[in-house]
Parts: sequence; C-alpha cells; structure tokens
Amino acid sequence: MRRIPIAALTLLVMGCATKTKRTTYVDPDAYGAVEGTGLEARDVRAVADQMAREMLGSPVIQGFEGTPRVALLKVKNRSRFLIDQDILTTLITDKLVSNAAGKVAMLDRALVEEIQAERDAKRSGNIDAQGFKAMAGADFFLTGEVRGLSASTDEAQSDYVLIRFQLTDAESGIVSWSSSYEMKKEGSWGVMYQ
Amino acid sequence: MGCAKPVPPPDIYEGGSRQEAIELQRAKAAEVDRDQALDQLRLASMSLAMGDRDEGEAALRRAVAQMTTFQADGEFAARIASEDKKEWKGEPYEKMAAFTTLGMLLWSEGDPGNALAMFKSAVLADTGSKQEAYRSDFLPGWILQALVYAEEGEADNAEAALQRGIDAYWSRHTVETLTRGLAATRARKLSGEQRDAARAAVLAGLSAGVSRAPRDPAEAVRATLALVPDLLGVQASLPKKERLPSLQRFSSGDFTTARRALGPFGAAWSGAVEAMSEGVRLEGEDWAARAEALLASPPGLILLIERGSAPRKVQMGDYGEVLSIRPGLRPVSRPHVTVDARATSPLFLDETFFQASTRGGRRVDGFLKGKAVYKDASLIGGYVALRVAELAYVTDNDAVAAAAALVGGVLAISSMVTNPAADVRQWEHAPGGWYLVAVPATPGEHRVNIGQRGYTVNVPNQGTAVHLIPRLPPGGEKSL
Repeated sequence: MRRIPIAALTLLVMGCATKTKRTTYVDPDAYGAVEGTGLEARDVRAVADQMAREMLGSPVIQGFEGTPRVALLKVKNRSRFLIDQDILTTLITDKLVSNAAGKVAMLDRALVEEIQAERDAKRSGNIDAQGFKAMAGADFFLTGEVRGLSASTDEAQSDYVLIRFQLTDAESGIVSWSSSYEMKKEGSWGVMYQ
Repeated sequence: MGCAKPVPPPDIYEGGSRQEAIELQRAKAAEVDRDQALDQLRLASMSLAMGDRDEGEAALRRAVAQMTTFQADGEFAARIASEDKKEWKGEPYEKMAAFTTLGMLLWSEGDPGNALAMFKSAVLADTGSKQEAYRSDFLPGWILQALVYAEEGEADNAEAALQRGIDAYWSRHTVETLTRGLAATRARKLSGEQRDAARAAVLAGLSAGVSRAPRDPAEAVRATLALVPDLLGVQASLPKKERLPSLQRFSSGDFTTARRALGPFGAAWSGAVEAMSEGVRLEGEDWAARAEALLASPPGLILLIERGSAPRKVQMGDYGEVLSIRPGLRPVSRPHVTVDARATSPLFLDETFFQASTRGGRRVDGFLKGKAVYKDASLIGGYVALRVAELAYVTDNDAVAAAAALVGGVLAISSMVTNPAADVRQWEHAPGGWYLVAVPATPGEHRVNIGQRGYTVNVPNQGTAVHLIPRLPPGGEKSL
C-alpha cells in the first residue's frame, strides 16, 4: 500500500522536473544529432583541407619563382543556405599558413584601411616607425563561391552543393588553378510533418 | 497545474502591453522545448517591431536553424498523444515568412549572399507534393532575388529571377482563371457523371498545362487538354494512393468516361475561360510592367512593407483532423507611402493567406496533416501485417505468424487510439502580406511616411538602402 503514494509522488515530481542535459564535446567531423541538408562542420573542414592541400601542390605554386603572395577574398554565397563565409576563409588561411612552410605569403586584405591609416600616421611623424616598406601586392587572388541545386517535396529534400575555389593571376587575370568540392545530401520529414 | 509556465497570450503585444509581452516572450523563447522555434519567431516579430534588430535577427536565426533540420523531438509522442507534442517547425507559409524576414535583415546589413540564400529558401519552401509538382509562386522570393542579383551586378541572374517571378504572378492568375472557368463549365450535352469525370481529369492536368503557358490562359487551356489523355493513361496504371489528388477516387470506368467526355467538356471550358481572360490579361500586364521597371534603373531605396495579419489555423473535420486556413483578422491593404512628401505607389507582392491556402495556385479547403496520414498508414500497415500472420499460421510458419501478429496488433491499436486532431500552433505575428517600394533616391537623408508612421532613411553614397518595415506597431526603428 505504501508503494502507491510513493509511485504517485515520483510521477508528480518527474512530471514537473526539468531534465538537465550536460553539454558534451564531439568530434567536429562526426555526424551531428541535429542536421539539415546544408554545410556542416565536417564539410567546411574537408573543403579547407582539400583546397589548401591541392593549391599548395599545384604547379603554379610549386613552380613560382620566389614566394607567391596570395590575397584571399570573401567567399561568395550563391546557395540557399546561410553560410558564415569567414569560417571558410579563416580555415583556409590557417591551413595555408601552417602547411606552406614559407612557400606562400598570405595577404591580409581585411585590414587594408587600418594598415593604410597606420602607414599615414608613421609617415606624418605622428607615431614613430622602425622603417618603411611598400605594401605587398598580390600575385594571385584566391576566390571562392558556394553554389547549389535544390529540390523538395512535402516528404523529402535534396541539396547538391558545389564549393569552388580558384587562383587568378593578379597581373594577367588567367585562372592558374581551381578545384571543386561537391556534396549531395538528402533528408526526409517524418510522417508527422507531412 | 503546478507545472504551467506563463505564456503571453498572442494579443498582449497588440493590445498595448508591449514591454510586458516582450519580456514574457523572451523568457519563453529561452526555454528548450518543442515550441522553441515558434517562440523565437514570436520574439523576433516583437523585437523587430520595437526596433531591436539585434535581438530580432538572433531570434530569427535560431528559429530558421530549428525549422530547417530534420531532427524532430516528440514525433513519436505526437503519434500517440495530441499532435502538438511534436517539435514545431511551421507550415510552408510560416517558413516562407521567416526566411523572407531574415533575408531582408541580412540584406539591409550588407550581406547580400546570405540574403539571397534566404530568398531562395523561401521559394523552395513553397514546394509541391510527391504526387503533384508545380513551380513555386512565392512572388517576394523571386522579386527580392532579382533585386539582390541586380545589386551584385549579376544582370543575367537578376533577369532570370525576375522572369520567374513574373511567370509566377501570371501562373497564379491563370490557374485561378482556369479553375473558375472549370467551375463555370456546364457542357449541357454531358451527363453530371461525365462532367464530373472530365472536370477531375482536367484539374489533374492543370498545373502541368499552366506551366507550359503561364502568361496565356487560352494557350494554357490548349496545353492542358493536350496533356490530359496521356496523363489519364499513366494515372490509370498507378495505385490509387499514388495518383494525383483529383483522380484518387477514380475507378477504371471513370477513366473511360473522362476520356470520352474530354472533347465536349474541353470545348465548353475553353469558351468559359475566354470570357474571363481579358481582365486578367490587363491586370497581369500592368503588374509585369511594374516588375520589369524594377531592374530598368537601380533603386536607391528599397522597402519591404509588411501588411495585414497572419492567416489563422483552425481544425476541421469530424475529429479535427483537417488543418484549415482562414484569412487573418486584419486585411492586407495597400499602404499609403510618401518619400520626401512625394506619393509613391507600392507594388503588391504577395499574401500569406494565399500561400497558406493554395497548392500550385489552386485553392485547397484543408490539409490532412501528419497525424491523419499516420493513422491511415498504420491502420493499413496493421491490416497487412495481420493478414501476413494469418497466412504464415496457415502454412505452419509459427514464428513469422507470431511476429507479424505482434506488429499488426501494435499498428492497429496505435491507429485506433491515435487522436488525429491537427496541430494549430501558429506564428500569430507573421505578416499577412508584403508590398514593395523601390524608388530612386539620392545619397543622404530622406523622409518616408507609411500611413501614420514616419521614418528617416539614410541612403548611402554607394549602393542601396534596404529596409524591412514590420507590420506590428510601433513599426520598427524610426531612423534607418
């Protein structure tokens, strides 16, 4: 008899209790519990890895006399997904800088205004300087874009995404290297969402 | 009762207690539960109306992320208990509105790439079913894509998106004209049975026919009538469930009747449509000309103005199993807009109610949603499994018989206990529709009045000033 009120109390308490879930670290390359058909962390990491590796191994970089200077521009999003373009450029820059071992110099074009202001202040004598040099010009522009093809019904959704990077000679405009990363994902809505 | 949490009634905000409503909504949106995406959208609407773009955008981003994943908490519970136990992800029209709102915010902040992504997602949310494919007719999605592409200097893509938008506009009006024509078609030489069969057959081919000639109702009629005989042949070979909706009740005799009646019915239909086409053509040409003008000269100022209130979801049917959509309480009226005291005529883009209550431009009375679909499927599955069990028992395959009987029993019982009432949770603050203002404007400050609301808009030296004007009072930031 004593078990019934205890069970009832337990049920009542469970009914009102808020279940506390702990945050856990997961491998960024692992499949997540919450996913759509867009770019996930593992795709972004795979793209950065592939692009940096292929670009550094390309004949245009390997055969360049001296150290090629590369300006990485903002990635253009033409897919249907919200994308933080800076994540792609940051990861690729990091990979290029850490793997290039001096074979490539990356130019920071995001700070051009700040650099110019600093240079002007130094040259006007407002702040001191340990020497002057010309701003580095780019030998290549590294540009990227994300494109996609999508289809959807009330039951399922399919997305093909193409991420393409190319290296363009800053003097001639010739595309010296390019590479693409493709992915296709499909997802389906449960019957309760149809 | 002790577990209840305060939920702001939807009309607190509009009733005037804005600060109280937004604080309650903020607390609600922070709770991780099945309504979180919906609560984030409600918070976004209120925050944007109060001029807090940062909070509005953050809430919209969280909502959109949740609405677009396939993970769904509570789906199993929703099969057994009430359907609103499942995680809320919104109806297609609510997704379109959420994507459009976020896209406008991102564009106004100088992120055209992600804005474009949201407008594309909005178009994709207006999706066909497996049985019935049609082109999206969500006009804001196409027109805003065209304007972003134009700003990005991609003239070909801008033109392509604009033409898809104009096609969509024509398409919806052509579908409406053809559907009204169908209802008015008498074909007196045919019996009632013949007329009904022919009408259902034509209805099945309507979307495909209109997609061949969206801008010409007469040509769309001819295209539909040319398609229908082949369509009937294919549909007759399919199981009933896989057929187009209007043909699912057809017997083999109905297919024969429809084929025979198609000639005289088609001639009468064509005549009925012709009588209705002229007004539609004039209206369509006017709208298309105004849309074409958007790309002719780059605007300095673009405003997307939300109007009217969101459609209302109601339960219909014996068990409330049909989700029916009713118009919002406030109509989508044309706003009176002046820029620097000069009146400008906003371009009508779309109504949320139209998107919510149509499929491929055709009005639909109601939708059988997940629970009713599940109830139907599980009952059939249960019956099949029990028949398998019976056969296995007869053939002395006891193990298979026991397993099939168990599965069949569970499915049949779950179907019987399932409460099929449709989920009517809704984003009450979604806009009822949208108007577009796109005008040339020199760099510097401009005074914009929309009805009783006044805004100061700053047009940059380069590029375009882009802003969303929320429908909820007080109407967002006053200095843009």
